[in-house]
Amino acid sequence: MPTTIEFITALFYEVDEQLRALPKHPEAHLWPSEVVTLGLLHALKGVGNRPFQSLVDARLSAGISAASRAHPALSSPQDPSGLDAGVLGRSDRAWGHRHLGHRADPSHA
Amino acid sequence: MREGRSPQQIGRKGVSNHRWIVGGKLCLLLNQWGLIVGWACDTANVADNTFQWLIRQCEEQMIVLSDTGFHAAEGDPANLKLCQRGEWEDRMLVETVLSMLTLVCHLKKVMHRGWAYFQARLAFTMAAFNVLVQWQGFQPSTSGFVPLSLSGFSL
Repeated sequence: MPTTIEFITALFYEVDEQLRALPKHPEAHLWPSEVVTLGLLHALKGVGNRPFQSLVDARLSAGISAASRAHPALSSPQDPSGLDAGVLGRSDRAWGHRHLGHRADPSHA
Repeated sequence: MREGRSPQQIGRKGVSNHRWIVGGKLCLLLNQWGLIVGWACDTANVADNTFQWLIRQCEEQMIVLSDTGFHAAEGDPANLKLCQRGEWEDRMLVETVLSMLTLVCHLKKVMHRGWAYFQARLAFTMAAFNVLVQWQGFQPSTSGFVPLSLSGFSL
């Protein structure tokens, strides 16, 4: 049985074989075959958005270069307040993790 | 108890397996090997015979076996064969597919807040099922039965 990352790669190959002719939207970060692969994995996993993002982070981040991860697929909308990103936090972090970090920080005590 | 908790609730109250549920209803059309060749969804309050249009779509291609819930007083599609409980063993194939979708894809626990997202989730689940049960190719037994398995892909 293949590992999870091997299975995801094989699944992406199968999807891309069917959808490679589809063009990418100029404002999209992902190709249609990448979106469909993520949709299939989401349906197969059968969990909500946040647990699925944890799976994607855990399984796929190792295979994606740092340069690619610098532009997240689902980037946060522009913040009109102009506050520092560290204040608002990032959308691709677990809520609980951020709150725990906030409590553990002695500077906030 | 589960109805009316949110003004934006997309699920409706209906009966499933002799008990009340709040949610949606999925109608599957399987071929003789258990692959999904058609599907439709609606809220749980609609009658099963609402999906007769799905059966009519393949009127020239195959007969469709269903339970008596798909009968309509106004008339049934010519290719619809209503089966009494326990009359046809093909029901086992349907239940096998539903069991795989339930255990591997957790299809009975869908929490989307928008109908379009719910439909997309079902579409991806149907597509994933068809792709994955054919992952190793079809390997029929001597009697022509094709064993289906999804458990090896459980993430």
